[in-house]
Amino acid sequence: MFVLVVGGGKVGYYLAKELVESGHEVVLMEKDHARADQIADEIGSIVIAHDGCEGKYLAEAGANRADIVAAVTGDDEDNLVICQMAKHHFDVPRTIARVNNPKNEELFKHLGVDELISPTRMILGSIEQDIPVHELLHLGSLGGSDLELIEAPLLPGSSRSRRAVRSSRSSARDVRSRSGRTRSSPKATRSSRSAARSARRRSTASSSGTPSRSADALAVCGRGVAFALAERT
Amino acid sequence: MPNPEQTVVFRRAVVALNGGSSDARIVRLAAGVARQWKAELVAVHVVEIDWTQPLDADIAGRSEDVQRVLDLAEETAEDCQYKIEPVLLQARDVGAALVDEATEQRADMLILGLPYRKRFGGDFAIGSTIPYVLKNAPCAVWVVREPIPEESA
Amino acid sequence: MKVVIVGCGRVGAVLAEAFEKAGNDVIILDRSTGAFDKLPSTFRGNAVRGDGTDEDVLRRAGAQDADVFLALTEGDNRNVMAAQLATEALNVGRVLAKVNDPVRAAAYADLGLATICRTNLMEDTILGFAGLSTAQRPPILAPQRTHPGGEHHRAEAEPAAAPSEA
Repeated sequence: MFVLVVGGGKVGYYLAKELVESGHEVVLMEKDHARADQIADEIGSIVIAHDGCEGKYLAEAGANRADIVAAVTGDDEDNLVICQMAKHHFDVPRTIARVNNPKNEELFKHLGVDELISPTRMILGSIEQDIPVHELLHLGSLGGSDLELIEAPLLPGSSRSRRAVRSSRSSARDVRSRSGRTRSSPKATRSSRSAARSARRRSTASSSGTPSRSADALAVCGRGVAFALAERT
Repeated sequence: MPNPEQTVVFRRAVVALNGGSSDARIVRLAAGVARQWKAELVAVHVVEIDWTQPLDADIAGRSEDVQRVLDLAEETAEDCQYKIEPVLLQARDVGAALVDEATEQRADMLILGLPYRKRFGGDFAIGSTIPYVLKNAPCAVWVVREPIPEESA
Repeated sequence: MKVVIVGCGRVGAVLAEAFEKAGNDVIILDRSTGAFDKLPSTFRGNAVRGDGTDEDVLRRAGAQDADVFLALTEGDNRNVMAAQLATEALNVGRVLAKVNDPVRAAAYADLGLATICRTNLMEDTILGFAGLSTAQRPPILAPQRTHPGGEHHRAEAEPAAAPSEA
């Protein structure tokens, strides 16, 4: 596979290094000459000391035959433009962008960037108990049991029914098994802000919610959200 | 005849060709020195492939210019009645390829020429290859600078 | 008309003044407040310090539903991104990005974004001045097709994404 990496910061450097070590053909673009020389000293002659945002230099770097372009500079606007140029101007089949501002994710996806890597989002995710923000939110564990309280948004069109809750519950399992690592962060560190938000949402739910009960879970549906007790994996 | 114990310069040398006027000069020089200890000579010509093409693209093997560079080295060695083994390489960077080749060939000498450049008023453009080789080669490095042509001197 | 200008350089500042004099509502953004010194003291428009590639900043400045959006910072990519945000997220009518790299200027026009390229403008103008023939490029490269997603508003109405594999 021929991978074009743009941006020779820490991410670009280690990415290029790992890819080279696993036998891929890699070219790294870094506009800062001193940094480019330093990387070439360490990894080898795979570095082009030019700005990867310039169409001319992308062409020189072989963007026309790249299988993947990974834009990992520290600037979202640069990463977006690199991926768009790669995709639309050089017909690169797969583009990956580092996104620093999580708010930009939707725009990037919408504009055709194939994959997004968001360090901010990942760290946020860890803080929010390894569950992707806005999708399923861990609200708390029930001391001493295998159950935890989670919140899941109800998709438009789903009725606030028992069925909707079950589907939320099963997706909760999926999510957790994907990010299935030990939760090491102590509960006490959760910020008071998110706790307050949880409490607010919980009260909304209980005021208008319909409790339902099944063998292993209790669920409450509210306006646009469902709360469920789910088995911890 | 000098005492070999003290003056052996190399046993196996990589002679780096660049397609310029210095090629014949360094091959003759290398052959002259190698003869005394029956040292082996490897003439290496590196063709730089830009990133728009894969490294194994069929380029150097088909280029007549490239073949001519190696032919000239072989002919020059023949004139000196010495044998030189031609090697053709494709690489992204000449300096790095020469260092790799010297390492792989277990060479104890790497010989490069520095031709006089007539354009831009005439000078020696040391470029990036020679500094790279000087810094990174595992063996001794011998840079042979051409004399400045009389009309410019 | 509501006019939004990102980048208060020489061009941004004179345009802000001109649009305002012509009776438009002008919002001008720059990352540095010092840049606003270029505006005349009589300027009554809205000068906002902030990053024009940040959707939150643009919304807070009131850029949504603007009639005209001009991205005129010194960074080609910042302009491209601000302009695409305006098109995709802020429901702006006419959007223009200054892109000084001719390759990117042409590529984004192809992608559906109107661009203006100082390099092309100056090349053509100076060649013309010297009596040479020019490429006869239009000063503003018009969008060659609808910007991806231009036909539907990227709105909250989109279903909350199911846990995605990405």
